[in-house]
Amino acid sequence: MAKTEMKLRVVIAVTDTTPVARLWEAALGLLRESPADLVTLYVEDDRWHRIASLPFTREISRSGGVPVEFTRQRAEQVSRERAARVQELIQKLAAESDLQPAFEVLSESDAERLREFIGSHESILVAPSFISARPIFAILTEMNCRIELVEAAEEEEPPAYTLP
Amino acid sequence: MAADATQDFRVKPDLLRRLCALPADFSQDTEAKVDAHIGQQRAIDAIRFGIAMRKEGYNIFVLGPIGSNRHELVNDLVTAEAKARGAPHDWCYVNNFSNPERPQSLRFPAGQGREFREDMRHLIEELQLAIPAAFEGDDYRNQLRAIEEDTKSKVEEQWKSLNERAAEEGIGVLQTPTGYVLAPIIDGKVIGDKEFNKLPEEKRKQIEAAIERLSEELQARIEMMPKLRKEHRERVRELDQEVTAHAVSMQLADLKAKYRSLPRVAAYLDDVQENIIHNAQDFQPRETPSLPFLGRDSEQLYSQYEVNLVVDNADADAAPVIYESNPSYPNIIGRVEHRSEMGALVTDFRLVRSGALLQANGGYLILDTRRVLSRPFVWEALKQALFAKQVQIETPAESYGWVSTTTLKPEPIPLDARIILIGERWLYYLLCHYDIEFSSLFKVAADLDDDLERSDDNVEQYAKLVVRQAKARELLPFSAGAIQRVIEERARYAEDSERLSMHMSSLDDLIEQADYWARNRGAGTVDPEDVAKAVSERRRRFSRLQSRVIDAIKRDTLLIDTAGECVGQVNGLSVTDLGEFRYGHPVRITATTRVGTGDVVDIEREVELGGSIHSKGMMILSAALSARYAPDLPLSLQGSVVFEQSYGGVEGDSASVAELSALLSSLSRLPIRQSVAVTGSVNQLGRVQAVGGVNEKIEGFFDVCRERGLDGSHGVIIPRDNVKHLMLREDVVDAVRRDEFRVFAVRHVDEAIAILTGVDAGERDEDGKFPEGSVNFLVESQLVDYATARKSFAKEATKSGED
Repeated sequence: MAKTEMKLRVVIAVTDTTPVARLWEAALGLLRESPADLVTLYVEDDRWHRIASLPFTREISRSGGVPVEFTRQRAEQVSRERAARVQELIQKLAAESDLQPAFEVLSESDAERLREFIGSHESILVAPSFISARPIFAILTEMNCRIELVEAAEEEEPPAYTLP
Repeated sequence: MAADATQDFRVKPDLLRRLCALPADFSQDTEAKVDAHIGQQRAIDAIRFGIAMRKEGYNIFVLGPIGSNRHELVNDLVTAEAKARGAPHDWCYVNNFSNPERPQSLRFPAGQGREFREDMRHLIEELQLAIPAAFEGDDYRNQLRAIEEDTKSKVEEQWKSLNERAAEEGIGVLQTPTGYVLAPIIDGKVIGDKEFNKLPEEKRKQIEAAIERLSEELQARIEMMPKLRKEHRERVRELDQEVTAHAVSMQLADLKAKYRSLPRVAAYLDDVQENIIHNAQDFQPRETPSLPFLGRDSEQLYSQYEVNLVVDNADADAAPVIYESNPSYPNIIGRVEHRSEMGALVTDFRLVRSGALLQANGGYLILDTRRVLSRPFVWEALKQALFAKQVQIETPAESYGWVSTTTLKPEPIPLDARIILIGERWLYYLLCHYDIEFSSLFKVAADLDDDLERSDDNVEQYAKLVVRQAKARELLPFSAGAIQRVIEERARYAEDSERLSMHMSSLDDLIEQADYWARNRGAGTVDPEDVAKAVSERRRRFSRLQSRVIDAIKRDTLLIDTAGECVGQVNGLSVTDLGEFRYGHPVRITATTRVGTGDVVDIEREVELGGSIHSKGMMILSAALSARYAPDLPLSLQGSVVFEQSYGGVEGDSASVAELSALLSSLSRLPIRQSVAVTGSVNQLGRVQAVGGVNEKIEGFFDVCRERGLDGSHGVIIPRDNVKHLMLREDVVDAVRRDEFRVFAVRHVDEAIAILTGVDAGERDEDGKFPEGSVNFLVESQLVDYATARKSFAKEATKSGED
C-alpha cells in the first residue's frame, strides 16, 4: 500500500516508564496543526523477561511473606499488566478529549514488525527523549519518519507505601 | 272469717307509696352546697385512707355497680389529694453508649426533663456546626498536613536509602503490580541471563550476594510499612480527638454546670463527651456515600445524643391522675416501637414509649377492673410492676421469654403510683378468692353503698343533688313537685320506701327523660307529670313481653282466674327480670293431695325446672305441714305442687305461702278466692317472710285484674315485712283508695289462708283442738283420715302377706 493513499497519523510511542501525560499533550498539539489519526504504540520492554531469565531473581510481595521465584510466566503477566496500565491512562486522557486512539503493543526486540508498523503509514512519532538511548531509536531513524521528542526522564511507579 | 275481717290486714293507701314532702323553705339555689356523693361516707373515707397511706400495697379497689358515679367520686377525691402532692419527676430515656440495647433512664425535677431535651437538641445543633468547622479550620489542616508530611518523609526516606544502596551495588528495585523484584543493572539496563553469564564469576557471586542481602533488607522495610501506617493513623486520630474535645468541651461546659446537682445526668454528659471524642472521625465532613445505607448520615450520628422524654410534667402543677380507658398491655406498661429501614424493623432508645403506669408515676392511676382483666397479660404485668416497684418496658413476648431476637431492654424506672381499680363487687370477691396476691396489693376496699336512708336531711340533700344534676346537664328547672316525684321514683328504684337509690346513671336518665317530656309539651319547667310521663314511657318501651303475658291471660291462653273460687288452686306471683326492666305477673299454682307416705312432690324440682332455693322452700313447706298438724301421727300425705303453664325455670321461695295455701285448700277442701293473689315465703312455723319484687308483683296482678275489670274483690297478699318496701304506681294506689283493689299484709300463713278462703284458720284451744269448721281443723282431720287409712292399708297388707 502506497503511503500517498494513507491518512497521516500521529503515533505516541510509550514504554511502561514513560510520563504519558506530557506525550499526550504534545500529540494533541500536532493534531491541532493538521488532521490525523491518533495511535498509541506501546513499546514493550524486555526487561521483565530478562529478569525472569536469571535463576536467582525473586518477587517480594508488597504485603510481605516469602519471596517467590520470578518466572517467565510471571514476567509475561507483569508485562501485560504494565501495558494495560498504560492503556488505561491513555484511555482516560482520550476520554477527556473525546478521542479514541488505537493501542498497539510491539516488542522492542521485534525490529521487523516495528518497521512494518512505522512504514505502513505516513506518521509523526511523538516519543520521550530518553528513547533516543534505546535500540528502537535506530530503527525509527532509519524509517525516516518525523520524530518529535518530548523531554522526559524514565519514571518508575512511585513507591507503593506512601501514605495510608 | 267474715268478709270485713280482712280489714285488719289491709294496707292503708298512704303506706302503698310513701310520698316525698320537701321542706317548705327548700331552695333550689344551693348548688354550691351540694354533696355530690351523699351516703357514700364509708367509701369516701376508705378512698381517702388509701390515697393518703404511703405504705406499700395500699392500692384501692372501689366496689360498686356501673352507674354508681364511682368514677366521679374517685376522680373528685384523688384530684383533691393530687393537688396537695405537687408534680412528680420527669423521666427520660437516653442512649447507653456502652450498651445501646439497654437505654438508660434519667430522672429530673418536674419541668427539667423538657428543658434537658431542649438543651441537648441545642447542643446537637451547635455540634453539627462546631465540629465540622473545627475540622475545616486552618489550624487542623496545618496540623494534619504536618503529620502527613512527616509520615511521607519517613516512607520516602526508607525507599530512597534502599534505592541508593541498591544502585551503589548495581542493583535495580523494580515494581511489579503486586510487589518488587531486584535485578542487576549494567549500563543503566537490566541484564538477562546471557549478559549475566558473560560476567566474571566473582562479579556474578557479588551480584547474587547483593541481591540476597538487599532482598532481606527490602522485606524488613516492607514489614515496617504497616507499623508506619498505624502510627500515622494514631497520630491523625489523636489530632481529631484533640480538635473534637476542644469543640465539645466548650459546648458541654455550660450544660455540665447546669446539671451538676443531678449526678446521673452529669455522668451521662460525661459519657456524651467521651463518646463524641472517641468517635471524632465520624464527625468529619465527608462525601455522601453513593448508596444511602453504606454510611451513617449525620442525622444518625447526632440522633444518638437526643433525649426521649417519656414522662413530661412540665405543665403539671399537681400529681398526675391518669384514667386509662383502654388498659391494653402497651397502654399500661409502655412499648418499644420500630421503624422500617430497607425492609428491616429497627429501633433505638428514641422509640421507647411510656404507658399509663409511668405517666401516673408519683400520682394515681385509675383503671376499670373488667377491662384490665379482659386485656391479655395486663393483670399479671400490673401486679409484677407493683411487686417490683418498677416499670420494665418490654413486650409480653419478651416478658414471657417467647422471643430470642435482640431488642431493646430499657432500664426499669422506679414506680411510685397508687393504683385505683374500679369494678363490680363480684369482681372484687372473685379476685380475693382466686388470686392469692390480690389482697396484698389492694389492701383498701372502698365499697359504695347502693342506697341511703330516706331521712329528712338526706331527702333535702338528694333534692339538691337532683337540682345540681339537672343544671349540670343543662336541663329545664325542676319544680319542687317534680323533685319530690323524682325522689319517690328513687325510692322505688331502691325497692324500699325508706331508702333512696344512689345509682346515679339511672337518676340522670330519669331527669333527662323528664326534661324531654317537659320540652315536648313546651313547658319551661319540669313538673311532676313530666317525671311520671318519663317513668310510664320508659315502662311502655320495655313492656312488650309484659303486654304479651297480659294478652295471653286475657285470651285464656294462660289460665289465670281472677274471679270465683277453686279448691287447691291459688294465684301466685312471679317476677321476670329483663335486665333494665322487670315486671310481675300471676302464676297459677295448684296442689293435689291423697294418702301417701308423707311426701310433698315439687314437680318443678322433679323435672329440674326448680332452682335450689325454690326446692328449699318446698321442703320447709313440707316440714311446716308435718310439724303443725296431727303431730302424734305419721304424715300420711302424698301431695304435689306445680306452677301451671310454667315452662321456664322457677327460682326463689317467694311462692311458698301460695304453695302451702294451695295444699291447705286441697286438704281442707275449702276453695280459694281467685280474685286474690299471694306472695311471700314461709318458715317451718308458718311465719310469713319478706320477698323481693313486691311492687312489681302487686302491679302485675293489678294490671291483669284491671284488664278484666276491677270490682273491689281483687287484691294481693304480701308479707307484713314487705310493707316498708312498697312504692307502688299511683294508679294502683288510686284504685286502692277507691276500694277497687286491696293489698293485704300478713305475718302468718293462717292469716293468708283465712283471707284466701274466707274461713278462719283457727287456733288450738287448751285441749289442743282446732275449732271445728276452721281451716286448720279440716286440714288436720284430713291428715288424720289419711293416717288412719294408711294404717288400715298397712294392716291389710300385713294380713294378706301372712295368708
